[in-house]
Amino acid sequence: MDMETVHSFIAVARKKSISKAAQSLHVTQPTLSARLRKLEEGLGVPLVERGWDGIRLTKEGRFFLSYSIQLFRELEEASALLRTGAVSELDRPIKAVTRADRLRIGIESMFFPAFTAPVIRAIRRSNPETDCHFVCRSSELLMHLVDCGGLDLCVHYAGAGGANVRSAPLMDDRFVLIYPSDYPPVASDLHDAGRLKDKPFVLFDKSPLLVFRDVTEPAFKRLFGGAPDRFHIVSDVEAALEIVAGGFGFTFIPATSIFHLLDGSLPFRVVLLGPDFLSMPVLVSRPAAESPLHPLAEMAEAVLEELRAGASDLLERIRAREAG
Amino acid sequence: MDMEGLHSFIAVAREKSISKAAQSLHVTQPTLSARLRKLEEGLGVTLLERGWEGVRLTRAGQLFLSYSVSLLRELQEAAALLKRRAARELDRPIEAVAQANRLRIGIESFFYPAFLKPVVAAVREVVPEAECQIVREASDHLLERIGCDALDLCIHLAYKPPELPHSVQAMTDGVVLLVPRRHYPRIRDDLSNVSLLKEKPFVLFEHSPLLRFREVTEKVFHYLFGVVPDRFHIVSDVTVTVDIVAGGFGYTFVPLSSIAHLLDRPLPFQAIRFEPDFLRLLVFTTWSASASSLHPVGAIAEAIRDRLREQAAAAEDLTRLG
Repeated sequence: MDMETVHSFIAVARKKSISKAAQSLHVTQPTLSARLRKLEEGLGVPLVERGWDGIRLTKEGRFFLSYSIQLFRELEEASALLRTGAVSELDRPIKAVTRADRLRIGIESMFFPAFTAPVIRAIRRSNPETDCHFVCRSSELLMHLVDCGGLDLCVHYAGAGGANVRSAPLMDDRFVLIYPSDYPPVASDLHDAGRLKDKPFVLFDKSPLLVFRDVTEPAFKRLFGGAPDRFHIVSDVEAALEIVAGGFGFTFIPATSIFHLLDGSLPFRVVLLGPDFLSMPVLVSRPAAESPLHPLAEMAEAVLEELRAGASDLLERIRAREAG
Repeated sequence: MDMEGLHSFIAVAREKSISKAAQSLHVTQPTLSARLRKLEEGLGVTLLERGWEGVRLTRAGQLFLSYSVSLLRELQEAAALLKRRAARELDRPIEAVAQANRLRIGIESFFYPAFLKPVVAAVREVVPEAECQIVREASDHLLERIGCDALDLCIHLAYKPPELPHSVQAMTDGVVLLVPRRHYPRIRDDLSNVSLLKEKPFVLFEHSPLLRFREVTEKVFHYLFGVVPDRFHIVSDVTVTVDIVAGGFGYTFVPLSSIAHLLDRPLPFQAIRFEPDFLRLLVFTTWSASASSLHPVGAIAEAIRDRLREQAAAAEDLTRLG
């Protein structure tokens, strides 16, 4: 799979015609068709349907289009930034982004709204003059980045760690069911959760879709006897929370994702799921190798301490909210 | 550029050695070197420095590393999901993601945390039974997605009205300087002592906002300080930005609308409106013509516009110009 192929697929989706797409890419139709075929073979699914009135994306094609656009765009951006950085010596903001002495901190995107503030407090305390780079992505990607030296510090869910990573446990995260206050109330033992089945479920796409399947599939079976019929799709925790708060759908979400809301009145109802659904260790990690620039061991310790102080009674605080 | 090149580059970054990386990838050293050379040529920059004690990433290599890890990961994810589909292991949730009749809405990243609530409320009001997908992206990418029918409707930022038939203007937006209350000097509303901030780290958005708003950002720096500052924190979203400023760790400026969701309680930082005359921010709702057959997108766009105007009016009242 190469970027040329991905670009070709996007052009076909936009023009809805192989011949027009070929024109816009300045290649022949057979070349373009061959590229598409290669892409489809590589992925093992058909992406386009060739009909008499032109070309249509298959379901798989529509699904892959979203990824393709993002991939291609990220690559274009990276090249553009690299080129600008290479050409213009005067462009300070861009040089700043490419500077290597910044402390690079990763926070799992499911709990970054709750954990960013305490992480900042800890970093600021251990060295107020540190300039930082914050990356909020999936744990898998963050681990990968730590492993290949792309991050200095990271708060994430346990997963297959690399040999180059040193981790310390923070807490065990669990799942909560959250649903709008005007939906029928659900008991904390969930025996009547079936009444939510005809409501739209807020589903995460991209990596959480794969990761959360282990929770959602058995939970759907146990609570509803099967998956719900209607879904809203989101790619981050902020959208999921607003949809539930807005009375538009319900979902399962890690307990840490609502941590930052516990100080005020919750804009939805919550039920803490037992550890039998899933219990996910949260870790604070850093590269095993010492950094010449930052006292990483000390900083990781400060982050752990700050986060532990706030998160230790998280599950109790959620349980206390169940009744209300 | 191909996936093999990305994969090779990541392996070298991890192993810090061409020979070890070649071993881990089960290829010969010359093959690996050739792939890396091809990658560097394609990008037009040097990613690796080959020294006598091994191999190191250049500054450009450091920058490209995080891109390449996420590129490769996303591609692998898409492939994994599609393979499950092909193997008929597919379940309803994955099927749902690929379903076609969902209302797909995009929101500009800058406005995302602030606009989610009014957008959800407007959609629910017009089409209470609709199933939705919500996407966060930079404005030009949202419009690109509209162009290839990967999105039905989007709320985006523009400097001038877009030349698109299906578009309504929601509002014009202001700019606001965000300065910590703690650990920072008090900045006057007329900005007369703004130069006190020059030595402090500015919170800068990376990736596309950095490229798109570069000129504007530089102009604003010149407007405020006469120079571009030296120190930066780098972030990729508004929520982290707010945490940094509230935590007394850095300052920044953002479109006023991007903090509208915080205005219902005391702000955790100083927020100072300013209006450089070279900066005019417009907010639009734009939709795809082909979406109209499935959803009343025009009516949804108008409902969103009305909600955003309400929110903007409230923000205007709370943060009058100094």
